[in-house]
Amino acid sequence: MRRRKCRAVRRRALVACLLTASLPAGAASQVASSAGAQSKPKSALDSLKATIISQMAAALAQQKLAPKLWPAPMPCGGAQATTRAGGKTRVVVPGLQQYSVQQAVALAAKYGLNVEERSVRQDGTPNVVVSQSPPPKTIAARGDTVVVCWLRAPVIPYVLNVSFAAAQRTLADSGYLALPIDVIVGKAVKTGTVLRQSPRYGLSAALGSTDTLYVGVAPPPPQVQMPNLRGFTDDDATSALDAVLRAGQLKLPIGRRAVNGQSFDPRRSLVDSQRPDFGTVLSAGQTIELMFRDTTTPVPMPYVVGREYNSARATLRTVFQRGNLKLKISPRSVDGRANFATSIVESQAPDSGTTLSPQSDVQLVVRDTATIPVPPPPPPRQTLRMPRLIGSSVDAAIDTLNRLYIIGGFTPKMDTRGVNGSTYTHSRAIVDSQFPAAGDSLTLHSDVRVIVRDKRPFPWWWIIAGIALAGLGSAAAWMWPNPPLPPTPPTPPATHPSIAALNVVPYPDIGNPRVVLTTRRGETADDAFARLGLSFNAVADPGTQRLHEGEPPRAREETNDA
Amino acid sequence: MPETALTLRSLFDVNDQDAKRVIFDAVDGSVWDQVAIPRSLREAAAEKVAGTLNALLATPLSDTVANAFNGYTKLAKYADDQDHDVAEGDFSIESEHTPYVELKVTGLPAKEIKFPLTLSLNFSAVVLVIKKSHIVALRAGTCTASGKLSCEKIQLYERELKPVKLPGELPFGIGIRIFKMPH
Repeated sequence: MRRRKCRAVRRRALVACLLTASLPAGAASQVASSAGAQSKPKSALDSLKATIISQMAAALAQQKLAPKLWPAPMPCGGAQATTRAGGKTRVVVPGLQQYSVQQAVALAAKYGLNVEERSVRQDGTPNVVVSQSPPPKTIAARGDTVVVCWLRAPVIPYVLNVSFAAAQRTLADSGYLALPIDVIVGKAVKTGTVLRQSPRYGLSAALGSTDTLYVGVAPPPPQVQMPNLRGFTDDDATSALDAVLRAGQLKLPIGRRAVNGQSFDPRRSLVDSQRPDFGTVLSAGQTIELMFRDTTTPVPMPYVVGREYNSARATLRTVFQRGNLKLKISPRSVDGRANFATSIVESQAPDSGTTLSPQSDVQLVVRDTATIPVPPPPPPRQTLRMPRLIGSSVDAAIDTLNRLYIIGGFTPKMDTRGVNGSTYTHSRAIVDSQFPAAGDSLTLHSDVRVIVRDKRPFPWWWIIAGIALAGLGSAAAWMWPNPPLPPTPPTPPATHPSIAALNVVPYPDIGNPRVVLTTRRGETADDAFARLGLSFNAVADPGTQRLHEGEPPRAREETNDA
Repeated sequence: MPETALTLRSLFDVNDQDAKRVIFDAVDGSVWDQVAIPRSLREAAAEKVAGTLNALLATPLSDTVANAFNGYTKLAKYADDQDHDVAEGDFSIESEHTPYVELKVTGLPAKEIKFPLTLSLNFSAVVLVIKKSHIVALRAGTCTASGKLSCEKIQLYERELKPVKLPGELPFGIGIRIFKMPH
């Protein structure tokens, strides 16, 4: 009997062990305790046996069966799946690892299990289930959900146009750790935004590789210069300064004060001077000061005589702006030519120093410098040779030298003296010697000195002898008359004898005969040719011909109708 | 221009401006080297010389061809009272002319400004019209001409070998007498 009871207790303890192996820890402890409770000891030995069995069950439940009941954490980070085997049809969860996702879903469906897919980026074969929960061979109920993790191919995500922090986070989630950053500076970039990434998104890259992000940052503020505010009203100056400071991303204090240190009315005042000066590069920490001057201060008329018209007008414009006056210039040209670009101011009204008023009308009289006649260029230098004057009369020598003036602009100065200082008669004197010598070169203002002497006395006795001989001859002719002579043909009129006398100047001392032909004012070429005796006579030539037979034509023929 | 008035000038298409420029240089080198004359007059003189170019080249082309046939003994057998149309085939004529302009200046010897001209005429399918021992006309199938016209030593115009549009018949005026060859 006792042996039968011990067998019953041992059998219940084994069942409890089996039950606790398939149940969670709490349930196992309850089973173990219930198994111990059901086996109420009726003796000290029975109670000892019950205690041992319960401890064995507890030990088995906690140590040996625990790995099957509580699997390792999922790599995809999802919560562990739980089974609801109680009260429903129990199934053993199949092993889904190494299957593709579709195959795993189909296999789980055969067991009546749902599948929740979760992807994980890891190196390995993509699209394959790498873990599942609950693990295989777990007892589950139909309709339970099995979570499967499958490998997704590592692909660089799209991180453009997001903040750098968000892009960094996204890339880290995708398995890309190192993120060197380059910076792009541009006008139109959004600060802190990823503008470009390399390698491109969508490409497959090994996990842990780097992805370079190009992040835009705001460009440095440009350097701006102090504008010229002289003559500006307060509002205009403020607007101009605001624009400049805004462009330079600067915030500088602007001080305003009057020139004379007194108070001023901004509505009636203009900027007279400024600090810093025009063109100074503005930087942070500077202070801008504008000195205003009341426009009621009289503005004197400047002196612009002798200046170019455009320059004078610019000066007047500046002065009038300073006086907040409206400039009205009435230019007038002296000679009626209105090319003011090349004109200079010859006179002005009002005079310099006159206080200008809003009704002031400036009148400028200008002269076009282009109309000032430009002196003709000097004649080109020409090498002249001293003609031979020896033997010619004084008048002929002067005439010869005057012709040099016609040729080359030579202005001769002839000094005439007698031989050895002797006196001479101008009309009978001839050149005995000359300086420079014939053929020497002359400059434009060379002095010519000639030594003259009187001609030899006229040989009257030769004339007397000639007359006597002529008388004898006529007497002989009267005594012995000759037969009548045939009529002489009329002498053709000489062609332009006067032209030859006037315009042809022989230079006997120069090797080649040289003729100087000049024109007269207003004379046509034909008239000049007629006067100078130029004639053109065209003479045609019938030529000489040679006939060759049988030579073929050397060009493409053109047929003519015979 | 009537068809029969084919002259040497019609073979040379000389540009007046070019001719004037060349003639100006030639006259300057040959005439005015001895004479000091204003440029305006030199230009006017060159223009006048250029104006004589038509007169210089007024030699009728028929005269040139006729001169080539003058003394052409091969046609002696046609020296009779009959009319003949002799197919002469192909032949060419080389002609050289030296027309000139004589320029006289008072006080200087006359100067000649020469215009050397060489001409080569190639005829094919020529028919000579002979009437009573006179070659009176030439009927040419085709004619091509080339030549060169200069002023002194400066070339004025060069005609490439190209066809000449001939009239149907090139008359030789009163004709070229054909003499019988002595036996």
